[in-house]
Amino acid sequence: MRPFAYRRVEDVAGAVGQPGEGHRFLAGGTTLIDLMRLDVERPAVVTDITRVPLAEITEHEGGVRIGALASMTQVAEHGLIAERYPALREALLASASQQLRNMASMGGNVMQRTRCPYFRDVAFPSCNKRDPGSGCGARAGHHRKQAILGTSGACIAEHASDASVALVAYDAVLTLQGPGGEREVPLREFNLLPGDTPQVEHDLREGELITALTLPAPIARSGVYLKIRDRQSYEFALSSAAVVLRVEGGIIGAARVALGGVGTVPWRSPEAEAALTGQPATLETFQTAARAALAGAEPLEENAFKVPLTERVIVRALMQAAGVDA
Amino acid sequence: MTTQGSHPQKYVGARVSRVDGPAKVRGEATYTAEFEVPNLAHAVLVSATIAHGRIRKIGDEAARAVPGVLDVLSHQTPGLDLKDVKGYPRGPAGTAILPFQNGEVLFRGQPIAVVVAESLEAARHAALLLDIEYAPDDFRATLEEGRRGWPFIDKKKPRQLQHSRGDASRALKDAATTFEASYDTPVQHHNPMEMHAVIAAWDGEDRLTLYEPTQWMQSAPGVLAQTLGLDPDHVHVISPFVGGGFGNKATTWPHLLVTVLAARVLGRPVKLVLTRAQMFAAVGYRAATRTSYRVGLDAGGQLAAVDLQAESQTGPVDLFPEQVGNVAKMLYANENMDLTHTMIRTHAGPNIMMRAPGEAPGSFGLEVLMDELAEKAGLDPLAFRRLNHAPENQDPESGLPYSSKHLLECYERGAAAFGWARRTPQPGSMRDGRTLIGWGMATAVYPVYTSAATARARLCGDGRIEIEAGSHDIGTGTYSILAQIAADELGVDIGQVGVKLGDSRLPKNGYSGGSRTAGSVGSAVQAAASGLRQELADLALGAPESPLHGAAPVDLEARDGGLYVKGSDRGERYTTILKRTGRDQYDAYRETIPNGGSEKDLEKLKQGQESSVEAVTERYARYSFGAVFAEVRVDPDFLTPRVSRLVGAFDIGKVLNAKTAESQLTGGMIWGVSAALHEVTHTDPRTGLILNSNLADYHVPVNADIGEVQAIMLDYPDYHVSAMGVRGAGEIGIVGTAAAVANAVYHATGKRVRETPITLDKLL
Repeated sequence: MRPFAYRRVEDVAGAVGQPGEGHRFLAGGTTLIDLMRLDVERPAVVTDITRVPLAEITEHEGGVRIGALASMTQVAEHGLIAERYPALREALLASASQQLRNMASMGGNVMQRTRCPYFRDVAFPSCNKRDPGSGCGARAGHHRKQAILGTSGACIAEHASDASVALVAYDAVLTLQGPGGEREVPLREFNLLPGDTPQVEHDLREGELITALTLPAPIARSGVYLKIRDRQSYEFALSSAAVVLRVEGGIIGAARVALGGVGTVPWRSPEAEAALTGQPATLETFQTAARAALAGAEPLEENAFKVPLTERVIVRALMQAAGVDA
Repeated sequence: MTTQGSHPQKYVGARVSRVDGPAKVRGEATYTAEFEVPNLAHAVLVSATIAHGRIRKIGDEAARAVPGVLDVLSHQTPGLDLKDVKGYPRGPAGTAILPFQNGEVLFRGQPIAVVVAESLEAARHAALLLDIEYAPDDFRATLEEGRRGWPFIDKKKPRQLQHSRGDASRALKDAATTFEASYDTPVQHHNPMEMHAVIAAWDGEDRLTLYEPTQWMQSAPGVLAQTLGLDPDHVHVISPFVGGGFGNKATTWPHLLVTVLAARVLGRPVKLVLTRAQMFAAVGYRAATRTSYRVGLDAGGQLAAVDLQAESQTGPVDLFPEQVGNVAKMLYANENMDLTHTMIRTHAGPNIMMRAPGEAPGSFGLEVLMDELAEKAGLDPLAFRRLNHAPENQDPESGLPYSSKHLLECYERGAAAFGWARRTPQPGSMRDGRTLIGWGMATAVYPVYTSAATARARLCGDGRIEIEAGSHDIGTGTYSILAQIAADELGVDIGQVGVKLGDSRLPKNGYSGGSRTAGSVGSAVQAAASGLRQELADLALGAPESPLHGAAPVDLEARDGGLYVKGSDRGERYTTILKRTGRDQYDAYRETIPNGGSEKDLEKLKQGQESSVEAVTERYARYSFGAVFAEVRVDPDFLTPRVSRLVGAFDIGKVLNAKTAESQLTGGMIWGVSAALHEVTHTDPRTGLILNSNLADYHVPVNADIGEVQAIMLDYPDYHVSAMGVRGAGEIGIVGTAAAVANAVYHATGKRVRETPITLDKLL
């Protein structure tokens, strides 16, 4: 690890007041410290925000407002979340390990970086995300776990967060506080596709701090998060789906479908939602929606299995959400 | 010497909790990296980031400018010359590739420099600032690439391991049915929880103290004798606790030499702890293998011929064979066999033994093959194995009788406990709702290795017993079983026995590998403890003041911390006997030579060389056996295999401690699940570097992946191995389990996967 300047702040104003080149906020540290040890992150200044009072979870206009420093555990165990956003609760509980969930903050989870090995190990010469212009190691190398949706020639790195998948399904909006004031950005727009600039991952301006995540009232209180992985715990998704359905008289009135383990960003699928809305809640509808969700997939040799796997994950999650038996 | 009567066994065989457990739980067991040594400097190892080539230069100006940095050593540093050493199995080093001798890089992750500083933080920072320029060369980092031709094949031909009996090619032609298949196992890494670590402290120019976690106390002294000309007895190795080894702590690796050199250059003690990523580099791995079979069956379904072409990967210089053919040579009755084992060189670095080397990956191929053959013969997999069972009086490889073989009983008891009779043969025919259920089984086998051993038993003035052996507890329970043996021999409470291990000044012993420590060192401790008892008995019987004076030796028993005439109170405590001698303590030192061994084995042991009596002696073939049964549950859509139930029945000789032996067996079985479903080291094709050198990405099962695991122990002592009848439990649990799981996956899904790990993408 390289030396860095450390400062601790007590409030939001102090946090956003002194941004600078190579600056990082430290919350739970479960990504930042890890990447600093790997020499991937080399911040000059680290601002410790753990004492900033941003951990409250409160009712907000039929929805909920989650302080950015609330831990994953806190959110997973909160009654409002269990009651209104079950897919978020399930996604959180399927994440990482209990120890990591106790440390990691929700704001940090949104900022979590990819697990692509070519990014995480500086011994590899090619990673456009870490070293723009150096090429993509994964494309020509080992990419079994990398993304099939939202990829570009420059980058196929998967977005590893489970929680963010549920958050985009629930239309989460981030509150960002910067030196110039506050603004709100939907999480769907906050995460940027890699395109030609995979090093730019978020719509985040200099000095801005995520202060809250707001979830509007859900379209329905039945939500499902289904995660398929190589082992039962402490493992990222090969494929996952967060789905929320409002079904009236057997007809789907509204649908939210988001995918994990397959996208370069937490992947909301308007194609699947369009295929579901107004249709009967049947296996056939779900299969059509699943195919629509994956229609734009661009798999490579080693991750081609994610296409059929994800179709099955979507179908199963929709069946569970709709209460339809196999 | 007096012979004497019985000493009831109270502890041996019982479920005794680890005697070192409380210290470990309380954090009082000191592991290598935790030793406090005054004036310690901290070293950080720098590893090559190419797989093959030459170092043009290592620029260290920026690194040296970091406050607290004491030195940077590499091949550019003068005066670090080392004399040649041989890599295992020809010598005590893990590899013959010595650090810092020239600018050549022969494998990925090869140690190429070390930064030493006053603090670990400064050393780590400075290590990032080294400016290293390489001239990369072509490389072959995997078995697959190596197979296409090692660039130096003309100079160094891959060694071949051969076995032939009968006439396999003719028998294949005459067979009623023939079958061909190949099975692949990948590179795997040991990943003990405790990292490799070394603290090296010189005392003058020719004496050295080394703290290191080791499975072989004599390895580092041997390597330092060869490379630096030290007297091995002047190298004091301290290693009281080892946080897992699994084979990669059995030999000495380059980082130890680096630490020793750094301590010499700086003139002060130096500590080096490898990172988890470096645990994937220069401390060995299990080589990738392929076993390609051509098999003939006769009309009745019996094996008529086996032709096995085996391949295993090895490093660029050393030749450690992952002997995948061993199990196929001996496990089933078969008169016609051809085995050719080819070693294939790669720039993946030196490979080394890893829990059941050869047998673990070899049994995957053989036992999946047996499952396929059973289906072809229209037989139940267990019935097919019984049909091809090698009789107790004839090991197919040597023709010798087995020392003690109860494999048929393993089949019977394992099958009964598992409920195998309820299995329906058709793949996909067993379900729980929509969930596919698969049942598979496999045979397990592991050879018996033993070593000459030495130990000392001491009666202290307060009545406590001390046992000393320069052996190791690598997490297996050695402290506990040695205490049990001594407590029974001397009739004392186990709490009165202190066991000292892990110090090279203690009586010499061989390496802890090949499941040999319990039987070998246990024998020496038994001899020393019973020797102590007998010498104390002689003293008492000969002393007119003793109540035992004149008693018949055969009537004595050891109990309650002393010697008594059986069934009476006539006797006295050891402390009373000791007091009469006027001494503070009384020692008995004993040496043991295992059955089938000779004085030569003892001599080799004392010289710090490997002393190993192999499984097949002049009279007997000595193996442990087992049968493993696995149940997997597979989601029909996602094809995620999960092991819900495992039952193993094992014939491992006498069981010394039912609790720790069971723990060894179930731990091995769980590792077998890991091999079947999870473990693989991924190599980047373009750089030859490892992609998953951390425990988040290198998968082993978590608790949630493991269902019920049951290990049944038959507990038949094998007196052709030793007087105690112990064969060892450390390795056999992993053998066969991967195949049992793979066979269960086939039974559930109808998809035959002939390579590990079996992940869902191979089943979709």
